[in-house]
Amino acid sequence: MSEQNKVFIRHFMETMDRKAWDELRELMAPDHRFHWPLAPEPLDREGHIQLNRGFQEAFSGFRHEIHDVLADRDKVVVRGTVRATHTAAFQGIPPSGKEVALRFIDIVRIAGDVNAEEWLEIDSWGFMQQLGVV
Amino acid sequence: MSAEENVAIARRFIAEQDRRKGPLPPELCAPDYTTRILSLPPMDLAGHEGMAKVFWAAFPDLTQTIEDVFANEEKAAVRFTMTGTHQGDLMGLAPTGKQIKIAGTMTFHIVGGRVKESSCMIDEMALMQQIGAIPSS
Repeated sequence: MSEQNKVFIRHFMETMDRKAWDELRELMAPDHRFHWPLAPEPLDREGHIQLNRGFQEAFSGFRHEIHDVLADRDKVVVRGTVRATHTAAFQGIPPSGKEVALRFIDIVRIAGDVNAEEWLEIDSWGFMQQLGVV
Repeated sequence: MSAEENVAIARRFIAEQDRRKGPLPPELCAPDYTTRILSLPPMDLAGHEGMAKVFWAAFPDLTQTIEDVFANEEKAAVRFTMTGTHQGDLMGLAPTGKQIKIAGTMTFHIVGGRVKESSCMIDEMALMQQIGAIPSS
């Protein structure tokens, strides 16, 4: 099960990188919850898809680089870096052409072969620094 | 080590850091301990403790509450909430008396009962918002 979950999470992230939104939806539970530092309440499945979709409209070449994976029972933790290029306006910030590297640690609970709940921590401050906003 | 032992090590690591207000428990750290915090370059034990002491000086009552912990035979992961009161200088930001409550995650690579590598991500943006250093979005 742990090995299967490791394969699942790599596939999940790769599906996101491909912007295959319908496939991605199939990999999330209907009552999926996404805990994300910048939102006060967890996002639901559509909210999570929209968040990533919006991000990828501003940042092209979005890809997950996975450094380390740990799986135990129904949980997986992934440590990695997202790389992308800021090619369109993002939250009022005009495109800078900058390549950003966004470090993350992501914990996912897998139930019934899909992503049931996810807790993502990113280096949000470092990200804003790379964009020159703070 | 078994998964259960590694869970216990991760719990103790965090509890001891709170108790010592920044410094790490030496008996749980490998001699070549390294950590990656946020996007900073890798740091050794002294580097990690130095950074932690800056945080505990700014938030003397800083407490890490474990929300979730799991492990296998070589690695452990912890999700925690950090709470504290901004009572000291934080990198030039004067104390505000404000309470902070932020989320974080930490991963551990454990060899023979000692942490060889750790990695930590905390919600620094929320921290800066909560002490009023940047506007809330």
